[in-house]
Amino acid sequence: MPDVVTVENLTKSYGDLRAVDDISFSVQEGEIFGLVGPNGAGKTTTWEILEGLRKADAGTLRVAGIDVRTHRRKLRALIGVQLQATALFERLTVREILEVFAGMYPTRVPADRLLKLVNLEEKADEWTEKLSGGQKQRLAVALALVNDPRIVFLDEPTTGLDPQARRSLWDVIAEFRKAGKTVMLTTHYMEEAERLCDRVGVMDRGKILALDKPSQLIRNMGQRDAVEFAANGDAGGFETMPGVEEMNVENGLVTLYTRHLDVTLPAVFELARQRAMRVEDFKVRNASLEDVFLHLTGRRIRE
Amino acid sequence: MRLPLGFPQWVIANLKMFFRDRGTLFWALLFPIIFMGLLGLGFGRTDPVEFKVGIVDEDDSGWSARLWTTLSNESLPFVVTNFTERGAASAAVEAGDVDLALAIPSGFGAFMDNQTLPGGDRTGNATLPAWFGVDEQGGGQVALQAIQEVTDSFFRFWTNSPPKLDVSGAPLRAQNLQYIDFLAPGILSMAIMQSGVYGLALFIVSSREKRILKRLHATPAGAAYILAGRIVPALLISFIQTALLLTLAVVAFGVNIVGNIGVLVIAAGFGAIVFISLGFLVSSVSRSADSAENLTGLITFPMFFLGGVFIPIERLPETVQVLAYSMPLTYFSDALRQVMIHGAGFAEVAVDLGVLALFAVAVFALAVKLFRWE
Repeated sequence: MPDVVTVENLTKSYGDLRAVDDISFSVQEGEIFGLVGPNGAGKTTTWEILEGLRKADAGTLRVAGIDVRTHRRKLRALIGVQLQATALFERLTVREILEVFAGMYPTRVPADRLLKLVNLEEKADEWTEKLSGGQKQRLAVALALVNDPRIVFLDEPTTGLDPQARRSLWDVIAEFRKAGKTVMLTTHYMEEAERLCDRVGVMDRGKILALDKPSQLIRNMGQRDAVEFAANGDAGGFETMPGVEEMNVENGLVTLYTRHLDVTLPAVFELARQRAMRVEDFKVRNASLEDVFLHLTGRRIRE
Repeated sequence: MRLPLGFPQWVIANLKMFFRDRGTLFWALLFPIIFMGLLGLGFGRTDPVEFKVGIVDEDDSGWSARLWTTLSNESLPFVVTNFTERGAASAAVEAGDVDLALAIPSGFGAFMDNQTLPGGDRTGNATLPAWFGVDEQGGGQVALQAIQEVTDSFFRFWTNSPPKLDVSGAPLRAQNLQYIDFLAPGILSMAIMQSGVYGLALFIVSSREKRILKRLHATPAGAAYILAGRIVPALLISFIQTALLLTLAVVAFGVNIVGNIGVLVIAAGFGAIVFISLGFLVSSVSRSADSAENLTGLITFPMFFLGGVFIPIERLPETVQVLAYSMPLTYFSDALRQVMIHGAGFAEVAVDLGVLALFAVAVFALAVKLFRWE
């Protein structure tokens, strides 16, 4: 598969802040490629530069074979874009909005096909101000497809949605892969990245800290389980317990990583008993992307 | 870039948004109509209870003075003014300053002497030339009849014989200008200003605030496409507004549009472009919908009061006049008024339209330079 997006040494600063700090990656045709990271990590800035909405300070950027820095107008005709937190014209119907946007492109997809894809057929003739949050996001995603683009950029498409609305949007995005489109996705939901993305870049403070398949990123941390609990009092000493390879404490929430649950678990309870510590919210789970991020940055992602 | 096929759709969508927004609909279309309606009821046409009569006394005798005194009598519905010659008097009729002009020709005193003195020659008639204004209300015609009756009574009173004074009236095309005639073009100019500035400024700023502009920027359409899609409907709405207000003025308040309608509509178009550009500029310099609203008020309110909508510029203090002449509304209201009530053609309003065009070009260029997508 050829690369449809190549980014080399991209840098962008706002004043003293390095929003994007010398990142490089490439994306293959047909891939769902994700950037995960907290707010302010630089994901949106990266996407908006690749969409031709912002100018890069430095770097070589090619999207769909086009030099992003010199042919922005031409680029916009070939890509589909859903921006973070944009509204829509309130007093147009869903269908009218799709048609108005389609009219701005040389290639268009009939509104009915898009309505079906994002499951908004019943809302076709409603004003957009009447839509729920999830329906609005689905419409925003449909708008990213009006020109039948090869590459679709989605910037936190599920932020702020309830779990059900989020899952229904995941189904839509999964459909894109079947249609052979390349999807560029940012999210701060690790579960979303794990479920949807072929490859994920973990981004924090303008840098990509790791980039691989979600399963590989988790595997790279070792075949470990995570033990999580809220500790009332001194959390010291847990890291030296048998089997524990790594420990993170954040706001009283302790996460221990171990390959040997059978030795670690009894030791945890033993230590807690000796210190007369109450252990709450106790949880044992498989390591996830969440843990990858914690491992790489020492912090959790928060919404 | 080839002309995008979707442009008409984009224009229509903007029109739909305009008509679906009750707020804009009210302020842009309904408010000016209500406004003109109220002012029209307040300052509308009144039935004349008095006739303004201009008298040219060419005889300058005791008899002419006596007739003058009779016509000036308070119990009669005449307000009499003096004119020294017929030309000035008939011009006053045409300008609508007086309803009727009456000349007392030389020889009138001698004729009356003959009619009244013992042994006088009582044969013959005397003719008093008169000029009466013809307008849509026919005030001059009524004045002519009233004058004839008074001169008849005058003759009967002094001679005790059937009237021999003939008031021979010549009709003159006259303007009957009242405040509503002045107001109608003023309100039209004001309405076009309001809807142009508000319509464009608030739309662009709120679209920017909601990041809709940014989303549009991510399409290949470009700024010209996006903005033209809003400007074309704004112009269209200005023309709808013009039609509605003119209809109201003519039908309900008897305003007479003297000039050519084509010239009037084109002049309205010049004004619409100026104020749409001004709205665009406001949107380019405002960071939020609130500040756009404030700035719009700051710009339009002084024009509202000083731009010749309610008060003729000439009646303003001189220092304020300087200010008034720096406002586009002054030129716009003047152009509309010249066409509507003085029948001006393009040549007569060329200066006004030229100034408006300069305003539009300068303001639009600045707005484009300062335009931001987000």
